[in-house]
Amino acid sequence: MPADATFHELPLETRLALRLRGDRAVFLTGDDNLQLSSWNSLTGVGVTIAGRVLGLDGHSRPFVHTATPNTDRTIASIVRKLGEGWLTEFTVFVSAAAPILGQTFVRVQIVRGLEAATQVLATLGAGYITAVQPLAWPGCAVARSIEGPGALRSITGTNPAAGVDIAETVPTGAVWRLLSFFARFVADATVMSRQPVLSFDDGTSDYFRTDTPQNQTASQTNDWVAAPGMERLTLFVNSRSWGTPTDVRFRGGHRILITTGSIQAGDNWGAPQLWVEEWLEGAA
Amino acid sequence: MLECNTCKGRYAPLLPDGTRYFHACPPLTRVAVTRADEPIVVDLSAVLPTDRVTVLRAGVLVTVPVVALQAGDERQGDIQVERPDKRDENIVNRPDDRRHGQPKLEGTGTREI
Repeated sequence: MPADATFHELPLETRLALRLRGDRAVFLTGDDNLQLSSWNSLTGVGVTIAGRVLGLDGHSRPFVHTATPNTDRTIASIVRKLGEGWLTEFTVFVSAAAPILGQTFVRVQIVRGLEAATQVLATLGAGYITAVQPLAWPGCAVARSIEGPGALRSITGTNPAAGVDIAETVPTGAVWRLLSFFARFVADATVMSRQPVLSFDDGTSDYFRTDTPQNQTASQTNDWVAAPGMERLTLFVNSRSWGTPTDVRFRGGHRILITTGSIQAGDNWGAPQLWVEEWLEGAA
Repeated sequence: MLECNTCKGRYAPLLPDGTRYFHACPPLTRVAVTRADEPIVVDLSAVLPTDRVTVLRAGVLVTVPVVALQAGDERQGDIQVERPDKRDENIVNRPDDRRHGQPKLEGTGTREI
């Protein structure tokens, strides 16, 4: 709200409108602009911000702007002029495709400048959105992108060539919580015991490693599974499990690896299947 | 479906849930062998039947020719190394890096299969 001296110079319609909105309206000089930033992992997503600005003349001006988020979890921003007046409300929603919570995160700020070197003056709201769950201001929070439930995703990894182990890398900008892991291993006829080992690393250094619950013999096909808190054991004749720590969070660049002791050139891992909870890191 | 020219791994660049998949080559297994009385480390695919490897056999370390391996033997001395031409499609996300927004490592590319 403007100072009383200024307030009484405004047209009656403006004063009435501002009185009705209390302290929720944010005054914008002509140099203040709206910045919409997004982080997103799904293809084809469109994000729309719509709202109203109460002009000095007492008239409310609606605005609608649409942005196309990046699909690689990096930030994409648009800056739009709103003109002089009071920002009274806005809503941000998904206007194309159908991301689930955890896939499209937005942040709305007031900035000075229109080009890359903008100065942030205020952050009005931030959070995950979907087609039916908008971010609405006033009233919304400035949420962090790694809080609350993430997106539940089933991911098929790379099917390695024969004689090659498995290494799945957490994508840049993602945070994963591993819920379960599955891969099938076909040992060739070379007589030797294979010892698949599951490990996690930060891209370079291991921070978790568990050895094999039981060796796999030549010409045998086994399903290898892992889940948080699961026992390390032989489940059935052709199924083995590793246990993993509960609630381990992986950052972008971290890896889930299988290293098979005594692996042979003709041994073959199938494509791993991962069930993960994913958040957008929102860094950078 | 794509095949990585470096590691020959196969993957779908777009997953069924509509998200992109960023392939990164797994490490390479190298095997410690003795060849012509010289201890060397070779790629798994380059191990010869006449090479000698050290294995754990019934709890005892023994060095035997590859052709004489037995069921239950566990080869010792394997190491995992990153491939010199590794492909890593995950992007560089540092605004101060000139490669910002580009894949970390191109490797030797991919081919459609």
